Amino acid sequence: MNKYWNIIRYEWLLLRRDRAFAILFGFVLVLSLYTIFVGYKKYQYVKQQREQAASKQRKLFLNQGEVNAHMAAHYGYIVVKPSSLLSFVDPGVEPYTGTTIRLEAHQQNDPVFVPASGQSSLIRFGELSFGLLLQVIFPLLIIFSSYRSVINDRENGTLKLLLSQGVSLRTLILGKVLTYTMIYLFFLIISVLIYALLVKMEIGTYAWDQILYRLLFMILIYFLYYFIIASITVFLSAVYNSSSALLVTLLALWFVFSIIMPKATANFGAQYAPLQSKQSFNKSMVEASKTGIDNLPPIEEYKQHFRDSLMKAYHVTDLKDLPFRSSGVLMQADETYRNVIYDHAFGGYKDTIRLQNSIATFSSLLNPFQAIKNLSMAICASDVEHHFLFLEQGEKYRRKLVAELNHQDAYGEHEDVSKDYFHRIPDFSYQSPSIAWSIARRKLELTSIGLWSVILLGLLISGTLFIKKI
Amino acid sequence: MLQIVDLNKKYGDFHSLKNLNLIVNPGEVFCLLGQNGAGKTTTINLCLGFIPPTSGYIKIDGEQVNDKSSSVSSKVAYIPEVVMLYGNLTGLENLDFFSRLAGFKYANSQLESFLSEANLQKEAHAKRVGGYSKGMRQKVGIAIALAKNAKLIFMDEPTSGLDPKATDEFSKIVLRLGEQGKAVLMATHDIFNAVNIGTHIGIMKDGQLIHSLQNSDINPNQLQKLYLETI
Repeated sequence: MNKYWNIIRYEWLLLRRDRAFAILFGFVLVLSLYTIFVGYKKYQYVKQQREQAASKQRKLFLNQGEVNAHMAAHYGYIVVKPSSLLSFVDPGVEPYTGTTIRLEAHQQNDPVFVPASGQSSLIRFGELSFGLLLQVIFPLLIIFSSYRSVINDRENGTLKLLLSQGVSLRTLILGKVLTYTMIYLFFLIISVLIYALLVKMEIGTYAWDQILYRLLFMILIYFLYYFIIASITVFLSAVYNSSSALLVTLLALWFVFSIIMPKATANFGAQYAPLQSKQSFNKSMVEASKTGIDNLPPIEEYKQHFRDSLMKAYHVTDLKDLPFRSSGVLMQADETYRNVIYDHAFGGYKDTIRLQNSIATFSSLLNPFQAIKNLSMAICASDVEHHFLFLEQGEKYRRKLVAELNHQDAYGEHEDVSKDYFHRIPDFSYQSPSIAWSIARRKLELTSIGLWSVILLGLLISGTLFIKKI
Repeated sequence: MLQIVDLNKKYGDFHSLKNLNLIVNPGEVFCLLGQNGAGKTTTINLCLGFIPPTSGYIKIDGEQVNDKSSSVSSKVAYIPEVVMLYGNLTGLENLDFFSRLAGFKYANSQLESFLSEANLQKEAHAKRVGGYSKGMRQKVGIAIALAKNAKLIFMDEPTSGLDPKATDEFSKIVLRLGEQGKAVLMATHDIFNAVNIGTHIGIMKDGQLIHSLQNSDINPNQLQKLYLETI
């Protein structure tokens, strides 16, 4: 263990004294802090905007005055997606998904106000976030800082002197791998500490433990990710004879893994499982209600049957004779029917998106960058699964609200609800999932990072025996 | 201390070392003479375990080189033609790093004494090695060997490129190492230096040890004549 520590200590000392690396490390630190602060400022701005919008909409809802319950259900409720505290570390799909949904009776609306749509075309291609820095830029910097680590010692003869001291090539390579892993982990930890401080100031103790778990998990998986990158680079540095050929190889690998493969898998996914257009989605819902699905009859048949059974149950021949206002009950029956149709169609829509994403997920077994990208979004609660969760919670709230208003329409003292009535309806509150929930959906990516780490550790331990020493 | 028995090294069809047999005892300085490509450096690389032999074996202090369980690396030191140290570290730091890798942790005062023993002037100890001359680097190399307390030291043309004064200083250190009971195997082109410091002299040609002599058996002129006739 001492030998590893000595290698790490002196490798770090050597890097610190190298002017080029000192500039590089200064640049990395500035860039890390810049992305953290810019991200934080953006988060504060977005949070303020969304809170203001949500508060304004709540006020409008509460101050409707005395209105017909069914009209109120049509007026609906507008919910705004709260900005995830970690989304400024990794914005994930958030810039490309809507943030505001109008919830109303009879129909499910799409979320609107996509953040990226208000940005310039350059930013739409991907903004500089701390996540991008960690996933794409840091690996490139690891390559630049470590690719000459063994080849240099071999070229200038220091390697022979090192080996003659009784240190094995394996120890030397592992020591160097740990050095570069820890250097970039250090930058990550510094940035995360600053981030944690900002978050602590922002939220106090609220949800702090969940944020802390997510940050600790983030450090762990990035440790493994940097270990993977440093292992490949340093191992190849021990195998190659030409540093220029090695650099070209490593840059090609970086380019293919972090740029080409993710784009290619996304394109392939879109081709393999094409997504329905909104128009086609709506049309399929209309068709499904006309013809019925599974055990559900066509809507007109269903409505007629419901009306008949209602009258039969209350022994009346006219809906007007029911002991309550039939409109609210019929409306709720219609709502229940349409919910089944929607769940069926939206389930298919989610399945298609998941099928598209599964191509990228499976490619993560070959590509650790893809794995870390998906894991990072999951940890930062900004992946598509978290977006679906928001949609599901919004839809659940809509159903409860509409059911409540229909109930009021049917059984309320008057058709109009009092102006105080709306104050009894709780505001929409998005419930953030736990980290366990987020990670449970990324098992394959976790397996990928774990497998890559174990295989490369095995390669460093046994593969170095087959590398020529001089 | 060093026993080389029927050692052969082939690179494809090229027979780099042919049936080498050689013994270096404690206190002996064995100088290997020969032209470039004669097999001197290959012999040292084989002894240090950097490359595996095709056949034959090498024993150091009774233990076979390349035997995984052996501890030969702790008994040997190596001084190459140019001791390539880390230019951004000082002489002291280089010595500390290499000593730590060999399993020794010395106080600064002890490290200073090794450098002084190797004749490196005191004011250079804390200076970065990037500004050292070749001779100064060689002295740090000797200090590394001293700090390791190696019983056997391999030197690969260590005086090549040194000025006469530095060569003289280096030779005196090697003589002192021999007097201290260290075994030294040194590859060199320098006939006069070999005569000055070697207790034994070998002449290699095309991977073979053609002559193996005791210093007392030959004078510089005879050695020069024999060397020129051999190569």
